Amino acid sequence: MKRLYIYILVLLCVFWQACEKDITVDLPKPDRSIVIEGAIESGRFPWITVTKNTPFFEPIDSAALMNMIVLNAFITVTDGIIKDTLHLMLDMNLVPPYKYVGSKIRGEALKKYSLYVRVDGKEYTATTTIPNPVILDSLRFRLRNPEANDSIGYLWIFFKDPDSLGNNYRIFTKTLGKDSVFVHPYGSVADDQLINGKRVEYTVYRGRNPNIQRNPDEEPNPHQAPNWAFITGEKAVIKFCSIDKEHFLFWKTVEQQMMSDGNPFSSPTTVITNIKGGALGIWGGYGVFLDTLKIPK
Amino acid sequence: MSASFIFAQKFTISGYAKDKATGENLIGANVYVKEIAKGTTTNKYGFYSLTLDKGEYTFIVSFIGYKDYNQKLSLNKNIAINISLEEQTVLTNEVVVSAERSDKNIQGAEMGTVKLPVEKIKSLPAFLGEVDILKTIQLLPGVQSAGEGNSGFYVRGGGPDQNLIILDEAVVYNAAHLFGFFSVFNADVIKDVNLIKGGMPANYGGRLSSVVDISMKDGNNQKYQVEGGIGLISSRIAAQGPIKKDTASFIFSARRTYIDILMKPFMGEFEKTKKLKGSGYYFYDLNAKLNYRFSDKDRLYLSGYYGRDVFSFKNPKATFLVSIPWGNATTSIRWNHLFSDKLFMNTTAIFSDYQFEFHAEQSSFEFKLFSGIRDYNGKIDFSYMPTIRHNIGFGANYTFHTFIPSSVSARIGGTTFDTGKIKKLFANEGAIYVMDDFDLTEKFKIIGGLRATLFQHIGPFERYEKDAFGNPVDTTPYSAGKIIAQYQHIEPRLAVRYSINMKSSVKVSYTQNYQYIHLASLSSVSLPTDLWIPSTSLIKPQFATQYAVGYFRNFFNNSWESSVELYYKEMKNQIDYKDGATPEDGLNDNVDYSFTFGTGKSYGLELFIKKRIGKITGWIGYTLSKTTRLFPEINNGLEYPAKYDRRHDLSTIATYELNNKWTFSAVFVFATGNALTLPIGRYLIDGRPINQYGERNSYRMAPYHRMDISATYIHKKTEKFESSWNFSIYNVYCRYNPYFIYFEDEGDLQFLTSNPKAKQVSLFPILPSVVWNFKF
Repeated sequence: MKRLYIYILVLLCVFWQACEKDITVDLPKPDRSIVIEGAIESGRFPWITVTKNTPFFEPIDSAALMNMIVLNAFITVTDGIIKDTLHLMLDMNLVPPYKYVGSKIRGEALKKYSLYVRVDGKEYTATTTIPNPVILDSLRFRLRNPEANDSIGYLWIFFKDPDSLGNNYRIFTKTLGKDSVFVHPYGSVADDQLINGKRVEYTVYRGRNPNIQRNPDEEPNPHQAPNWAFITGEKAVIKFCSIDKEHFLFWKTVEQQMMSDGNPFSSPTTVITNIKGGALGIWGGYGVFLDTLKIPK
Repeated sequence: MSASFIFAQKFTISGYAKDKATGENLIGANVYVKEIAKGTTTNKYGFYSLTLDKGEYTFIVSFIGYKDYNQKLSLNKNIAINISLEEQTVLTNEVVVSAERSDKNIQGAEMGTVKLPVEKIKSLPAFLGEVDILKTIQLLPGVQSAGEGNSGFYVRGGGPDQNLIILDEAVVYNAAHLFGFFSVFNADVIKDVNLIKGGMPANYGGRLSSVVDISMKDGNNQKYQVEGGIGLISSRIAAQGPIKKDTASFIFSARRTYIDILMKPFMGEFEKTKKLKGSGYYFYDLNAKLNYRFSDKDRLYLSGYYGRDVFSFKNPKATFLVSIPWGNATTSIRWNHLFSDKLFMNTTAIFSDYQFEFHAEQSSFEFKLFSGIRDYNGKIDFSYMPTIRHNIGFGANYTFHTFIPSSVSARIGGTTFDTGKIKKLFANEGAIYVMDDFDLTEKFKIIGGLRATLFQHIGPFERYEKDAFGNPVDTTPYSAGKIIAQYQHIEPRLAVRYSINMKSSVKVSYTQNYQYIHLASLSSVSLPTDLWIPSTSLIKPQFATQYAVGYFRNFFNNSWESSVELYYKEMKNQIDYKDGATPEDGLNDNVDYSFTFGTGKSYGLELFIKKRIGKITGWIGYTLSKTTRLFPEINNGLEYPAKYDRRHDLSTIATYELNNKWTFSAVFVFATGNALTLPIGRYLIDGRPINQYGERNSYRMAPYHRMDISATYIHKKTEKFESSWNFSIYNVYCRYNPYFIYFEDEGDLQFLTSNPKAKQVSLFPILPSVVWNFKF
C-alpha cells in the first residue's frame, strides 16, 4: 500500500511539476560496529560472516568491501555440550566472499545453539533455536494467467500450520541448473498470525540473488524465466524453513526496510538484532524441509 | 419606595443579534453599555443577555464589518430586543473605530483564543484558488503547518490528533482530503471559526491541544441567494434562502474537484496505451443546513456534512485494480430554548462517522481493508447570566464510540484468511462541566471551570493474552457492555485577567486536559490510513497540563492589537507505533499491542501584532518554541525533538483595500525545517547494504519560507448580482522548499558498488491560480 501512495504522489508531482535537486546532507559519523550474520540449519554446520559498518555516504566498491571484512574474529558455537570453533574460508557466493564455518556441530531440530564472537577484545553473544520443520503437503505450479499464451507462473505450496501460535517461516528456492545456491524471494518471511492451525496455500515467487536488481515491472519474453517467476520445464527446489520469533523479526525488519527504503511517508525501520554486546546482525536457526518439483512443459 | 429597593431592582435586556440582510445570527458581536463601560458578547447562536440595575443606558452593538447599533433605552422592565446590524458596504478612508468596546482581547479573560471571520479569509491568497480556513489558522502564532500545502496543523507542540475540530457541534475526525492539501470545509457555507489553543474553557474537552469550533451559516431567511465559484481544480455552488421568511431557512452547498477530468488531455499518451484507464482521483463535499424558529424562545437547527475522496487505479490489463474511498459524514440536530431571558439552553444530538476502505484485487488475490470511527453523541449546554458580573455555563456530554482500527479480509486462491471477526472497539465517553466567567473586582476577571470526565472501554472484546515473547497464548472474552477499562478524571480550568488600564492587561491561565482517544499515525503526512483508537487497559488516556501567561496591549484607539504569550505544556501518555510496526499488525491481535508510550514537553513564546481596521489590515505572528518527546522504547530512551518541533515560526499577512474594486493581499511565512531521522551508517546483510539510523529526529531540513500574493477584483456588485475574480500566486519567488529527502544509490550492486546520494524533493513551485466567484 505504501507503494501506492508513492504512486499517487508521483502522479501529483508530475502534474504540479515537482522539483527535485541534489543536496549535501551533513551526517554525523556512526560509531564503528561489528556486524554478525550467521545461521545454523538442521543437518548442516554453522556459518558466520563478520563485517564492519561504514558511514552512510561512504561509497561501497570492491576495495571498500574488502575493508569491511573482519578476518580476525574468534568464533565458537555450542549446543551446551559440544563446542565448535569456527574457521575462516573463502565463499565466492557471498558478498564479501568470506565466512567462518564450523566442523563439529550439525544443526538439529528443537535444539538451542549459542554463539560467541570475539573481535579485538570485544565479546558478542547470541542464542537461537531450530524449530521443528513444518512439512509441505504438496507443491504445485500454476500459470500466472492461464489465458495468456505464455509459460510464466508461480509455485504454490500447501501445508497445515501447527495448532499452536508462534510458527514463523522463511522460504528459499533454487532452480536447478540456474541457481548455484538457495536464494530467497523479495518477501521471504511469514508468521502464522492469520493462518494459525489452518490448512493454507501460498504463492511462492522465485528467489533471486538480492544483488541483482532488475526492474520488477519489466515484461519478459513470455517463454523466458523472469526474475520473480518460474517457467514451465524448470526444476525447482523449495527450502521451507521454520524459524524462531527473533529470527523472523530480524528478516521481517530487513525486508521492511528494503520495502520502505526511500518512502518518505514511512517511519524509518530499524533492523532489530538478537546479538548481545553491541553488534548488529543475526544468529538464526533454520528447521529445514526440502521439496522438489519438475514443472511440466 | 425606599432607596435600597431602587438599587436592588434589576432588569434584563436580552435577544439576538443578526445580519439585517440575511437574518444570519452574528456570533461574538459586542454588546456594550456605555454608562457602565461593561458589556458582553453574543454566544454561538447570536444570543445575548444583560442584567442591570434599573436606569437609562446607551446600548452599542458592534460587529466587525457592520455599522454600529446605538440606542438609548430606559431599562425599567425586562426587555427582549433583537438587533439587526447592517453591513458596512461603503469603504471610507477615515479609520472607523467600531465603538468603544472593541477591546475584547484586553478585557476578556480568554487567552490563546482567535476568532476568524470567514469573509476576511476569502480575500487572502488561496492555494490553487481553494479558500481553506484550516490553512489560515496555521498563520496564527502557536499554530504550525503540518507541511507544504497541508491543512493539518500542530498547536503548541501537540499532535494533529490533539485538535478538536467541530462543525456545528459535530466532531470531524479527518478534516483533510488526500495528503492534507485541502481541508473538508467549504468556506462558502462557513460563517465563523473560533480557535482556542490555550486556556480551553470547561465546556470543551476530550483533546489536549486546541479547539477549532466551526459554525456553518444558517441560510438567508430573507431572500433566495445562489453563490459559487469556478476554479482551477474545483468548482462549488451554494444555494440558500427562506423556507418561510424570518422563520425558516436552508442552505445547501456542493464542491467537487476535477483533477481527474482535467488531467485526461495531459494523460493522452497514457490513455492511448491504456496505461491509466479507469484510474483517477477526486473528492467532493456536500453541506446542508435547515433551521426553524418556532418562536423567540425555541429554534431548531439541522446540519449535515458528507464528503468522500475516491481514488481508483487499474493497471493496463486490468489484472490489478485498487479502489480507495474514504470520508466523513456528520449530522447534528440542535434545539435552542430560552427558559427565561437569563437562561439559554442548547441541546444537540450528533452523529459522526469516518470511514476508510481499501480494496485491491489481482487475479487470484483479493484484499479488503476497512477502518473507521463512528460516534453517537448527545449533549446539553446551558448558559445562565444572572447579573452582568456573571456568565455561568454548565452542561453534560455523552458519546458512544465505535472504533474499527482495521479490519481485513483477504483471499488467496481458495484460501480465505482468518483475520478474526471484525474487530470493533466500543467505548462510552461522558463529561459534565460547570464554569463561570465573572468579574471579581474591576481589575480582576476570572473564568473558572471544572470538567469531570469518564471513559469506559466496553465489550464485546477479546483480549489476546501474551507470553514473554509476545506470542499469544490465550484469549479472554468480554461480553457486550462489560467494562474492560475505566478512567475518570477532574479537569480544572482557570483563566485570570488583571486590567492594568483600559489599554492593557495581564492574563494567566492553567488548564488540565484528558484525551481518551488517540490517532495512530505511521507517517508524517495526513493519510487516510491513520487510525483512531480508544483508551484501553493498555493505552492510558493522554494528559496535558498547560500554563500560560500573557500581556495584551492595544494601540491607537484599539485599531492595533498586540500580545505576548508564554506557555509551558507537559503531556503524558503520548502514543507512537513501536519500531517497525505496520497497520497489519492489528490483525488477529489487539491493536494496542503495537504501541509504545512516552511523554512530551513544549514551551514557547508567541508574539502577535494585528491591525484590525483601516485600508491596510493584517497581522504578524511569531513563535519561538521547543517541543520534545521522551519514550523509553524510542531513541534508546533519550529525549528527542518531536516531529512537531519548530524553533521559529513566523507568519505575516497584509491586506490592502485599494478601492471598491480591488483588494490586494500578501502572505509570508518562515519556519524552521522539519526534524527527521536519517541513516548515518550502513552495513551488509545478505550481501546488501542495510541502513543504520541516527538519533531520532536529529536532522533538520532546510528552513521553509514562502510568499503568496493575491488580488481580488470585484467585477460587478449590485443588489441582484455580484461577480468577482480572485487571482492568487502561490510561492511567488519559487522557493524550492523541502518536502522530503530521499537517497538514491548511484552505484550498482550488481557490480558490487553502492554510492548513495541525497535528493531533496519540493512539491510546489510558483503556482498561479484564478477563481471566478459569483453571487445572485
